[in-house]
Amino acid sequence: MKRAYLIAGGTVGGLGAVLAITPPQLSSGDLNIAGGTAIGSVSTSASASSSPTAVATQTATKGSKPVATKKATAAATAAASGTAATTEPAPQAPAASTSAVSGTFTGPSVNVNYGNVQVQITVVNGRITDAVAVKAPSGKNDRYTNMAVPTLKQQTLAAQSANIKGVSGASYTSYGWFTSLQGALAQAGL
Amino acid sequence: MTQPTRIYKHSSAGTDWAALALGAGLGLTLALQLTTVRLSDFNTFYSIVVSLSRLTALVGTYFAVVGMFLIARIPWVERGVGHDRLVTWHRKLGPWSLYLIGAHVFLIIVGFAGQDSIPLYKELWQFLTLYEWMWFALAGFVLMVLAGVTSYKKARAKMSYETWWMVHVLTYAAVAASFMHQIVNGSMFVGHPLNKTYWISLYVAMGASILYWRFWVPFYRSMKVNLKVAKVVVEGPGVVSVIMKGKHLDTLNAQGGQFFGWRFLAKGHFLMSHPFSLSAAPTEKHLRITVKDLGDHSRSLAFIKPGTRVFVEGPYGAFTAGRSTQPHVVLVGGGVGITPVRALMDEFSGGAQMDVIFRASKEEDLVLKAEMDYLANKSDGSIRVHYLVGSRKNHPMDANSLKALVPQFADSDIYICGPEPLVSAVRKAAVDLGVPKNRFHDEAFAFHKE
Repeated sequence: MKRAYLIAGGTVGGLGAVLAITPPQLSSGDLNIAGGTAIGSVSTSASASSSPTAVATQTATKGSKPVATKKATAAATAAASGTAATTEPAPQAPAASTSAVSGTFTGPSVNVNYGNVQVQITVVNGRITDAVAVKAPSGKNDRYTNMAVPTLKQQTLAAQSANIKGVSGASYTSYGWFTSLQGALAQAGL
Repeated sequence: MTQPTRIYKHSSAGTDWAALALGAGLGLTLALQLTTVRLSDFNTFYSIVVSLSRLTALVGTYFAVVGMFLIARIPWVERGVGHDRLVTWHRKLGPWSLYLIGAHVFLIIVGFAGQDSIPLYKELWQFLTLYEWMWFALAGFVLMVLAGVTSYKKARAKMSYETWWMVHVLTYAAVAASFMHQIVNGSMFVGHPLNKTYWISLYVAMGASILYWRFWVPFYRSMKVNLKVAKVVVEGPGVVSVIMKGKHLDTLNAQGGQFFGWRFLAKGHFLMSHPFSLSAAPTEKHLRITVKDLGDHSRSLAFIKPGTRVFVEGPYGAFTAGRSTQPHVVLVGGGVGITPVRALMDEFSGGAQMDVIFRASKEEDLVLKAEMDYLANKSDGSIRVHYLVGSRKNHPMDANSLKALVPQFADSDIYICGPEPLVSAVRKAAVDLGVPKNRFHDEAFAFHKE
């Protein structure tokens, strides 16, 4: 019985120690948010998409369903709840709806196991007109890139947001695109 | 043959530390996932399924690794816990490892298929073709299932020891094959170098322990002691003693009560490592085992030629004189369990008052009786031997009968080796008479059967 306690104690101790040193980063992505948007700084209220009043032009208000496959679901909820941020009701909306944004915005470089994905979007008057991967897995992994990027771009332009489905069979690349795209959108204030 | 060797006093501190380390390792393993979770891991049904699959993978693999540590024959672990108990724990942990890893395989295919909205078989194919090292992982999983299925009691009973052993040993390959897919695809490892380091260290430590203590040490020591069969003595109907001669036997650090895995390098024998207890305390040059006719292999030991080389693994077993605390000991042997008891008689000789109880169903099962009588006679009363021959009805081995036989039973150290029903009965009697746990020492003989 003593041994059982020792094992249990060791487990709790080990787990506690590690969590104390590196607590889990529940929000997705390590995004640097330029501008006053709440994306990326979401705490834990992922599901609470409360205020649909918020303009939420591009970002999804309908229950964060779609989203890129596999690991990318994180970013979606963050995006969705960006509009329903914990503190302010209608956060980034004001900026977006009034001024028309133009320019190119580059999201962060996201490591996806096989390489890095970094998305750059071109925005004209608040509309995404182009999206390219300035970084994508290459070499022996370019099959994912070649397969996925054109579709991802298409999905992005169609959705005019990060509300894209992703490409089946290229889940890592999709996830990287998705996350980086979010960052780029955040910078653009979209 | 009756030279008592040093008595190593036993401390349980080592095992306590090992238990703590085991727990800490489990904590760290759980932390691998808990420190790398994202909200997205819990916000849809399928993402929860996937997160669960990761958890089961981690814990299942940790159990498998621990299971390997248990049978790596690490000396302080063996001495602290005892080989029979280690094997029991290994047997208990194994299935759980398999169930958890099976759950992992099932859940992750279901989870990803759900997220991708494609049928399961398509998802399985995607796994195998899109991610690296997945074919190896699949192979490892199949081997593990095979090892598990063949170890299932009913299946195991139907096959020979060799067949079962060959399949089981493939678990090494299973663990090795599945390692890479974990490191390369696991979300708790990709981009998390510290986590990777921990996991790799765990595997390396396990692999190194096995290579060193399970394979190298026995080989090296066997070469060093250069053990050869000196004589085979018929002790009675179907019972033989094999006396072996070697050099530097003290380097084995063996004590009476312990056992070795004996590998006779002769045709038909070298694939098997028989676990047999010493039937006398080791001397500088000689080791003795006494073997009963239990099966094909044991029987043919009677025909082993003198001069045959012997490889040894061990010594194993916590059934040693060093664990005693009282000046009076009661040694109980049932059937072939008398062999380590006989060896303990050598160890305790001159050091403790002994009551030896030999329990057998028939008179002719009283192996080594003449020897034990001789020792008792010349011991000036410090050794008393009781032969209890007959059925369980005649000799219930309960608190009353044992107390009647040995009045000081409750104040002695009790050592028992024999078949499980006997051990259980005497254990219950000891509990009834108030013998504290640390004075009750048992060795299970069940796994010695081949």
